[in-house]
Amino acid sequence: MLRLTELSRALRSNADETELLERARNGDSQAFGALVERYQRRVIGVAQAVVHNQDDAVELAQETFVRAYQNLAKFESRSSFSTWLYRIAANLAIDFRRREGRHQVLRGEDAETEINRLPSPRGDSFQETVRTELSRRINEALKELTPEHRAVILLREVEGLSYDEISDVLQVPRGTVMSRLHYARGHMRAILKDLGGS
Amino acid sequence: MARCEDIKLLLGPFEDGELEPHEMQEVARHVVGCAACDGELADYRTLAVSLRDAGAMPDVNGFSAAVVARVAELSIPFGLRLRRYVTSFADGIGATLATGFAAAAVAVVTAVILTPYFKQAQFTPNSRRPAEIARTAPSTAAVGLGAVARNNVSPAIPDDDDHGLSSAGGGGDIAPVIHLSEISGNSGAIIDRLEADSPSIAVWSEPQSDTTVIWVPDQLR
Repeated sequence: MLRLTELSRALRSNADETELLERARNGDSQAFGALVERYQRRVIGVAQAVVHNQDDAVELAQETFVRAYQNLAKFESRSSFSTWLYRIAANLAIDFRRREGRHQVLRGEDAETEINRLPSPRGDSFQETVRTELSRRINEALKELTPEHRAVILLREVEGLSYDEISDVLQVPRGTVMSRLHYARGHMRAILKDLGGS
Repeated sequence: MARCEDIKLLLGPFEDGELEPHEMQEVARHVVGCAACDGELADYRTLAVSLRDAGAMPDVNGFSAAVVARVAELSIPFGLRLRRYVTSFADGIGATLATGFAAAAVAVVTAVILTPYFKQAQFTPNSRRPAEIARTAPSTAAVGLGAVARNNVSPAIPDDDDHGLSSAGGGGDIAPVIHLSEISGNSGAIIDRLEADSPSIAVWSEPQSDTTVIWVPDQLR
């Protein structure tokens, strides 16, 4: 019964999305705004998985939606609208990363986050310190990964994309997704072990 | 029991639910009896939770409004402009086109219906039907086969004014011109009957000489 309810909800959602897309195609920017609301978090997440910077990810997500709007006529519903959006976001993020090269600097909220991660002079509780430390180590470990490995593990673990979706978004074979994920997990696990031992 | 080296490659996809059913069963059976692989699987779960915790999501308040504002500033895409133009063109011109097509269809049907009459008119002397000519020249229209005048030898040729040249030498199927100005009677009826009985007979008038001419093939004379 629960499954039937979920299926019915999914079908309604698809029909709703089709209508919003049609209206957006005819120049209804409010309908497009509704689609943006629906997918903004995921699109930002995909961009962030590739560029590993929040501010850049938000800018890239905006650009993703603008590009999508400009090219709505080319979207033929062969893939889902969400996958199409993620692919645009990933392509823009990969191009951005290539342009930026290795000159990664901390900007805006990222810099602020890093500052907040410094030990507080007032002293934190033990749990909070451990969590903060874990978070810092995780981010350090992510930075040690190649952008390709980082993107795959973040798309899987944070954004919850399936292997096929990751393959589609990053335009690499499914086998490549699996091997990159295996390597990234192994690397991250080693970091976590190190944290547990210290 | 499968070896750990083989199973380790499948632990991640197992955790993600991306294996085939038989592989899922195989990994599950192995993990139950292997503390090392079970520990690695637990690490993967911890890693997933840690990654989600560490990845702070930016504040998205105002994000969609900013996107909509940017989109509104864009010029309308060419494809959309084209579609709108085609739609308005179709709406505006649709009725005109429909009327045009209907008029063209009527013209074609009319032409098809009238074509045999035009052809018939072409083969009629002076482009007029004999009966019509007879009715429009009542003073000279009275004629019958018995009234054919033998004294006038000038031949008559339909569709040609130069009678003398065309029939000199007495073409076998050309009848002589008949002067009928003095004949009277119910000529229209006679001419109609002639035409009905023998379609090859042609009748026309020559107003300048006040003459009605009957063209009769040799076989009928």
